[in-house]
Amino acid sequence: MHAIDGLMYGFGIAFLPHNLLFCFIGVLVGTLIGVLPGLGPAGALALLLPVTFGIAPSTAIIMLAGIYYGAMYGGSTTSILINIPGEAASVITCLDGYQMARKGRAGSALGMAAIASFIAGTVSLFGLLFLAPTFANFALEFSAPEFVSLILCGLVLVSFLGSGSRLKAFMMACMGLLLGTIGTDPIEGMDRFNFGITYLMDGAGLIPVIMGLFGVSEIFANLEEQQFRGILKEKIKNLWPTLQDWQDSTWPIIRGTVLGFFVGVIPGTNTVIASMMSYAVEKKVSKHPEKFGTGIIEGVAGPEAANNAGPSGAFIPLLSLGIPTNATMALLLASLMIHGITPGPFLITQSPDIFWSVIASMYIGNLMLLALNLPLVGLWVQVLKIPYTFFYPVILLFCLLGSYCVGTAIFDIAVMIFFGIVGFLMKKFAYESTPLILAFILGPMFEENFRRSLVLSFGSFRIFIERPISAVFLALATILLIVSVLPMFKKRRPAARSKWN
Amino acid sequence: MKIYDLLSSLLWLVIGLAFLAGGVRMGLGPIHSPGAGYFPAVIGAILSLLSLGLFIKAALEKGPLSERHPFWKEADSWKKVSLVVGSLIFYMAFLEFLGYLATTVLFIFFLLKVVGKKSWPVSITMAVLVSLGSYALFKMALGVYLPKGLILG
Repeated sequence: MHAIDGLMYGFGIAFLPHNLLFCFIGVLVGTLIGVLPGLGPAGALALLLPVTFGIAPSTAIIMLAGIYYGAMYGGSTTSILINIPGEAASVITCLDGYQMARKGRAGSALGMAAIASFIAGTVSLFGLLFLAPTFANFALEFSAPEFVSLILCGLVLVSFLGSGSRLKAFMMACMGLLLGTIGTDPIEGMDRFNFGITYLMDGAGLIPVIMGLFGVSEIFANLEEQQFRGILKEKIKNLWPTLQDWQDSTWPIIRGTVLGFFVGVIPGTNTVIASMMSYAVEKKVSKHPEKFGTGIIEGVAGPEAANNAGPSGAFIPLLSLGIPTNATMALLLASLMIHGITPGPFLITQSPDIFWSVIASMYIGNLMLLALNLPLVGLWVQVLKIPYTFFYPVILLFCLLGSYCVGTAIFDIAVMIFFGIVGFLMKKFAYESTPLILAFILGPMFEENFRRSLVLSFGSFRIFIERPISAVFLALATILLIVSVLPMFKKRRPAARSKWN
Repeated sequence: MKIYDLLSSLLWLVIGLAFLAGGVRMGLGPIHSPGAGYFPAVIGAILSLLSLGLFIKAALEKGPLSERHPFWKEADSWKKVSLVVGSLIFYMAFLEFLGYLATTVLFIFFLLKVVGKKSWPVSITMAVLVSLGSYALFKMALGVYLPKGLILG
């Protein structure tokens, strides 16, 4: 389908009342999640996955996507007003945004953040719109070996680009793969590693593991922090940026959008990296770099654009190849799988309703968000005053329900608690959970394709190298692996200390 | 921290070896048709090697075994976390016995009153509100099955 035809088709579905409703719910929840420190989009998606069980897959993705890019809008509010990022990617916005607020220019900062987010969000969608089908077409050539190399490359990238020890990240990826083997063997149907527990026959449940690893462990960690909610001083006055602001922000927004979009496509990156890079770029090209950090609009416009263009980029590998680029995308993938849909190059042709309606809904969602974030900013600020003590019990309840309701099994709650503790310990001991969850979700697909490849090649590993596309991915993965190992022979890479130590 | 790495790497080593052993037992199969045990065995082996590497890397690191930072950020955080873990286990144990409404009320109340140290009226009100509200949302609006138990359900 041509992009424009597809988009029209998508709008037809996206404008259906229930899809509009869930889109709104998604972006609303996303904004809230963004505003409230302590819960990020990945956690929120995990929590709302169970809500999506009873609704159509396209509606589900519309809502979940809304949460993701919605959070990128909301995060800037607290960054600007009280110097606390509501969401990880907004940490950069704190730098100049808060300074602007202190100078009495909070309104302009908030306004420009929302506008930059909107422009980036909608423009980057065109990239998604035209590139995703292209990628998908390309991927139609893929067979088992290509998927193996692609997934391997993705996992290596995710581990490589993480913030802590790469060795540990690779180990977590391995662990995720191993966890994925629990259950029934995909090809022969043998029971594996389930110790006779019937509940494990389908594998360690995806939802309980995610709930535990992302939701519950996060709460345990947050319990330790003194939740400081800064007091807001002044009223927010003028939300509309000045003409000068517009002029200054034009190029940062353009650069931020392009940068964020392409960064988003790469597995292992996230919107934090995108916004950091944007800030660095703006500072470099600016005529007055020394002013960065004192409260200038470029420091807000660029990063905010970048973190909103990111999600559009991230959707490309997911929708066209079925490969998630980060934890949030992995959860979207999980949601599709739960609805019985296997994303991959065939998604466009087999489920065009999902593909096109999600993209169309993202336009609608961005519009809704513009409305939510400009006039309603004051409302979110009030919400901030609710103490964490009231929030986390509700979040835990959602986690419990979510885990239980999947299979109506108490055992799943036990799995959730177990992984909650595991996740908490992992934070303390400085292990990242993103590679684990990605590997866990992709493991079965990886293994199945791997074994199939070997059957195709009568046991020869050369099949992975002989096929050109596969060879390229493998080469990339090898280069990354070598680069990871190199520093061991030179200086030690400064050990990133875990936040929780 | 050095001690964390040393200890955890040993754990992963054991896990990796366990999967390796389990995989071998299940049968690796001929290479042109790998069996059920092939993948877990290979990945398990890789994990074991990596964890060995981590162990050696940590052991060779100069510096103290453990640094100034304590495991718990504040002295009594462990109490809070343990209480929450306890409440989760309670929920798991009693959900099907007491039913959704009762268990949820007790759960939320406990977290607000005991862990959060809020007052009686606030805790009770919130507990009831959250339970009823979530019941309405999940059971009535979304049609999710929630256990009926001893009390109302």
